[in-house]
Amino acid sequence: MEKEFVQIISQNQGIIHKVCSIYCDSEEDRRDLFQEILAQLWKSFPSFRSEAKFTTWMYRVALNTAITSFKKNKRQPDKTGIEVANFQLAVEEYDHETEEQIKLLHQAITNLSGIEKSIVLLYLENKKYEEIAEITGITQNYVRVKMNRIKKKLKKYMNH
Amino acid sequence: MELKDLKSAWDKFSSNDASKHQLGEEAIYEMLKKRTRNFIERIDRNIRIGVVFLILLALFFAFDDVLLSSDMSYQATPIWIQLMEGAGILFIVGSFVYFLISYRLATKDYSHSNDLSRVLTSIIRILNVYRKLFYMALGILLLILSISFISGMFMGVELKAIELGANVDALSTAPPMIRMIVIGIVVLLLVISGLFFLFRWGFRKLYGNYIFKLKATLMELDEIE
Repeated sequence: MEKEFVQIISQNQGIIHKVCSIYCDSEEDRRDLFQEILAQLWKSFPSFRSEAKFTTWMYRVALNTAITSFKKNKRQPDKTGIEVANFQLAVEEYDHETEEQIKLLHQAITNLSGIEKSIVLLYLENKKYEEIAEITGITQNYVRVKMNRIKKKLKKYMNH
Repeated sequence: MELKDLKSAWDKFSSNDASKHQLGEEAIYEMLKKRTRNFIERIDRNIRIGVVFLILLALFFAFDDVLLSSDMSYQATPIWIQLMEGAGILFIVGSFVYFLISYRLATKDYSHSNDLSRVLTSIIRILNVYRKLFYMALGILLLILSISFISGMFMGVELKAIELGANVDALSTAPPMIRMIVIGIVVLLLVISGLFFLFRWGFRKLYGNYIFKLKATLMELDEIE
């Protein structure tokens, strides 16, 4: 079972990387969250039922782990400084316009709550409301209301 | 910039970022072998350590009362002190049984493949049980401290009475002895409350923000549902 699990995770690891990039500010946090998600997926793997799509299940476990992850109250250095530093590492390969867009996207997402981040990630991944509701386990109505609020927040942020 | 521009920026960023962090199967195997830093698993370990500690404590008390102290003090120790010690052991054993049942019930439902609301509710329930264990262990520690202190004080008065050839009742009502007892009780209360507040502060510092964050997330979910 472990071999099958590793193979399937290896093929779909992009999902975990996307979740980590949305929820983590530093490389260290990112490594910890990646490992944590992997452990939770492995633990829940025996209960995975094949009637659900594997990626839907994977998104669900990864997002639940990210939203409920525990961080010790360590002294936080200047957050903006870290974000800019990490971000510059990430965007230096893009053209100026894309770089600006990615920077704006990261800054806008940082200000969202844990649940909002999960909804916005799935929206950016072109998931329909129905699928977002299935992954998060919340109603479509909630997703719709929340998404409208997030869009307003993002637009307001981008116009500043 | 429009929202659709954000989507295209995300597409470029996420595919580049994922390929940069791509791991081979060997690396995934290695990660699976490592011990997880999962909060609930840490709590699980702490609870197991706590339960072992409670069993050892109960065994120690039973051993101490039945074997070690039976020749020395059981004849002389008043019945109320014996009852107090017995109640202490019963409290420890009772806490242990109650605890195991509560913890089993709390963890039964916990899985990250459930929907978010259930995951949050399960973690909050586990944390509440953990908090109860923490305060119970603290209560037991303070109870043991109090019982030992009271027994010690009583034995001290009795030894002094034997040394002076006086009557225990007469000696214990003498003003200097009353003063000593009052000072002893005040010191005991100060130590107990000091320890209680110190441990409570430590617990809140470690887990307070986390519990608050989970409850806030659950409230955010309930806001619209």
